[in-house]
Amino acid sequence: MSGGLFSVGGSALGAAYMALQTTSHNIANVNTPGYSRQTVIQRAASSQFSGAGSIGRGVEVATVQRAYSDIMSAQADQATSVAAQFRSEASLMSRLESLFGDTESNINGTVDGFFGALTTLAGNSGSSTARSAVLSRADLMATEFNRVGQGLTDLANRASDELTASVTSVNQYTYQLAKLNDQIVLATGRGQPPNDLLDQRDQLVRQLSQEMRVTTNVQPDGSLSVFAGNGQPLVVAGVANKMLPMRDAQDPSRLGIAITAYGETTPIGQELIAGGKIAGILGFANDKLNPAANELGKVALSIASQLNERHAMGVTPSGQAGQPMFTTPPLLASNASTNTGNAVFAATVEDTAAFVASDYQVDFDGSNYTVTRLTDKTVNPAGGMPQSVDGLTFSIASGSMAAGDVVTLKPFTAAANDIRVNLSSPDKLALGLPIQAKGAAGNSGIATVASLSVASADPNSTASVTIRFTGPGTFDVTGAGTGNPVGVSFSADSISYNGWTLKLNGTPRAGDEFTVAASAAQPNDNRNALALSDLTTTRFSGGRSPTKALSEIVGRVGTEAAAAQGSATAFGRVATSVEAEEQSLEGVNLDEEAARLVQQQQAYQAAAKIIQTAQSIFEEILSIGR
Amino acid sequence: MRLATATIQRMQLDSVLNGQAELVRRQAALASGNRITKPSDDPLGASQAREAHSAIAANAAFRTNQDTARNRLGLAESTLGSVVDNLQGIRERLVQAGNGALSASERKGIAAELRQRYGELIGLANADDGTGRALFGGLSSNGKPFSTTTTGVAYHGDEAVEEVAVGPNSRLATSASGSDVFLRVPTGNGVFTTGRSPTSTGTALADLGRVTDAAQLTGNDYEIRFSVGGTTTYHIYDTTTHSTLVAGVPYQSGAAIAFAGMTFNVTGTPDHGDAMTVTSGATASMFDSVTQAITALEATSTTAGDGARFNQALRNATDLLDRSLERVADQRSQLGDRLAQLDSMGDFIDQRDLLQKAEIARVEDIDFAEAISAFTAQQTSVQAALQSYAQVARTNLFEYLR
Repeated sequence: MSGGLFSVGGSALGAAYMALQTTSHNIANVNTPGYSRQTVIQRAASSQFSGAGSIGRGVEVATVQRAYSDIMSAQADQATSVAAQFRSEASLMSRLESLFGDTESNINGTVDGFFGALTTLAGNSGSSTARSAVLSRADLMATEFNRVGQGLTDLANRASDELTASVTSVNQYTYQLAKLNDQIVLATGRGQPPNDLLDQRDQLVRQLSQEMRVTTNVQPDGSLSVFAGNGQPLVVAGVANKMLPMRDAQDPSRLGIAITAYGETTPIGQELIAGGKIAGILGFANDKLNPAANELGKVALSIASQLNERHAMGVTPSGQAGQPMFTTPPLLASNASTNTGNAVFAATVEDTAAFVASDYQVDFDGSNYTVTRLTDKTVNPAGGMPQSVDGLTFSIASGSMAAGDVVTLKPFTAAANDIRVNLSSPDKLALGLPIQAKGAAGNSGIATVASLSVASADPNSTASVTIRFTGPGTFDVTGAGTGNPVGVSFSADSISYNGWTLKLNGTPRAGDEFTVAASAAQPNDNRNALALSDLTTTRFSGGRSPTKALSEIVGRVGTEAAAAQGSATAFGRVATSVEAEEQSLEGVNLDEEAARLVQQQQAYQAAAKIIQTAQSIFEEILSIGR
Repeated sequence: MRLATATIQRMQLDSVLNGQAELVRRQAALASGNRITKPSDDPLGASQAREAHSAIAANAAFRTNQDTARNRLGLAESTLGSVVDNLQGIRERLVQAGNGALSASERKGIAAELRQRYGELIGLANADDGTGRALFGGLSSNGKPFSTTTTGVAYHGDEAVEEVAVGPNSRLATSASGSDVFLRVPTGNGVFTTGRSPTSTGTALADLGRVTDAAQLTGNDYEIRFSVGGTTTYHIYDTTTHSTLVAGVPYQSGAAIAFAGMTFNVTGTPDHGDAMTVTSGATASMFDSVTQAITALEATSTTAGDGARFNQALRNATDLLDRSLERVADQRSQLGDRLAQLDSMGDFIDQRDLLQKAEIARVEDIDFAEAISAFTAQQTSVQAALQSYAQVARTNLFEYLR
């Protein structure tokens, strides 16, 4: 008779206890990442039919359900993935911009210092102090280029290391996901959802998303398939496919990743990786760092080439032609992994003003070479080698290309790292010019030489040339390289042959002669020093003055760093708000759990009361018989 | 919206941490007074500030060069001033020597003094800037640019003058070329020079002459050749083209002889076969004026012709000296012009410096009033976040279930 009550009370006690246990489980996991709060779903036990109607038989627990939304979860995965991408990019960008220094001490300052020392030396060419100052300033400038260049290289290595670490994490997560898949399939087979395992799996997907954006798909058996890129399988059921860092096949300086599935390694294009740290690292290394290194290298190579070219026109106090002021860096080239040829390329500088900070790709089809500028894919007309592109002439120094070979040429990438001062002592500065103009001793006119300057290198620049005036306004010229013209009109300003320009003071008389010829070094000749210092305002680096070009790099890096920082903040906020929304459904609220605890405690006490009632009824019945 | 406890805590912690980071950033900006601590703070500003710093660095180099140039130009200018004094002293002696009453020994005494002055003049032409660098040696200005030889004075310097960069795209020659100042002095009146042919024996003398019509000047050299037989006539012979211009013109002492845009007076009595020379556009060295005078003063004078030769030589030397004085004055004024240019270029550089510094201040410096108020506001907001954090953390149902 009281058996029904015992049964109802017992079911109520059990259900209340389970609810209490679940609430406690929720409280216990209030700070567990990825935990979804669980609720006991109870229902009335099927009733007993009697003539008087159906009589309830208590309660039963249908299941323990976790609060979970796959849509919200997927949104949060994506948001954290994008936030992680920009966070990692912003952190690398801030390292990049710090290389360019603050406004007080930076690479611009050393370039200014060098050209300032040259200008001062040009004003006092006899001073040995001024000569030494130029060399030490040149050294400072080269060292600063090396420091920033090396910093960029270190950053590239760091990005590569971070990529490797990230890929390792991805592999760990996918391995654990595969293991969990096995357990979940097993548990799901038993009929009830393994809530805590599912939470763990979702949390792993969240962590995986931070490294790399993935897409997921729940299979009917409860296992989760995870895909990278445009559908490359990372995890299928209990099998995880390994990812690995893999550099670009054609240009090994570009970072990339690949996946090994079914025994085959397939690269995943950078454009297919839509989020996660890996996307941030690849974007930084390939699209931000490489251009910055090229821009810096462009300035370094321009300065070295221009100063060397001008310095070579000069003459040292001991009469030697100017040696290169700086060592010019060698051309970097990377061969595609599929290349079979052994061509070694060389580059010569033709016109630094035409420089474009880019890498170049050379394709060979067996008869023609095609040079492509990689920044904007501009293709130079196909033809033989050497080829001139953007102020550079590329040639094959040794070996040959096989048909189908691809070589990437990097004239600027490491130029800043390798620039060095080549002059060993201040005496080797070639500040004068090796030519001199003289009026003949018998000249009767008042004309004298005002100046003789050299604008460009010429094979005949030191050839002896005689200007003989046949009247105040005409002259004849004799000498190698001039073509010996007669009756040239003298328009009172200047006479130019063989790369030099002669200016006269006063009016010459018929019969007056002026000779331009090689001369011994003159002790205070500062003509080449002036020309060297004039380079500071010359737009020789891709159409910019060197300091302007450097300022532009700083402006660009600053803009990119600010943009990355802004994106990191904005997408971080988005991720936080999406996660908060997700947590508002899935997360544990302690006040709520406290309320439930009270509620469930009351239910438990009430159920105990039922049993107590049943017991006292039973006692009543027993006492009847006493 | 229902909020998970962990979310509440995280949001509160985030607001405190972000607030603190911002507070520290504002504090650092206040401490340094610099709005831009890294390029991304203001990429355009950072780039502008660097260009302004570059310009200021260049200005410093230009100032050094201006000082150097001012020093050298000043020295060259004052040395040319001494040259003027020297030449004027010589000229006074030449005027004195022109006095026909002087005895031969008195003339020799003047010649001795002129030799003294000549030595001084060469010394001035060889002056250096105190560091062993000749002022008038052009580009090869070590050692002495001028030396005396048996035939006159030789110049070892370069004709081109050293230039110095004193401003953006602005160069200035720091001295004058020795050959320009001392060697290429136009003779006579600057356009043509009259003289006696060396073989003349009469007393005829030519004066300085002048240009009456510059358009008719030919630039050729001429001789006025005299024939004495009853009447004295002359014909004008072009020694450049070897042709006779006019013939048989009657000669009258003191009358003007005019042709080819030139006019001059010949006074005195020529002998048969005497000639006056007219040389166009010739130049001579400044030193020659002195040596010519010395030679004339030291020559023995016995005949009337000798006297005329002496007078003509003295007059030609005086003319050359006058041209030399003009030449030096001209060069001095050029040096003065350059000194003035230098001053205005100095002002320009100062102004440029000021502008660039203002630009840097505009771009880099923080507005303290604004920065301090922003800092205080941020401080308040961090304090509020901390206080509310403590309050919210205590608001918890478990607190009440006791």
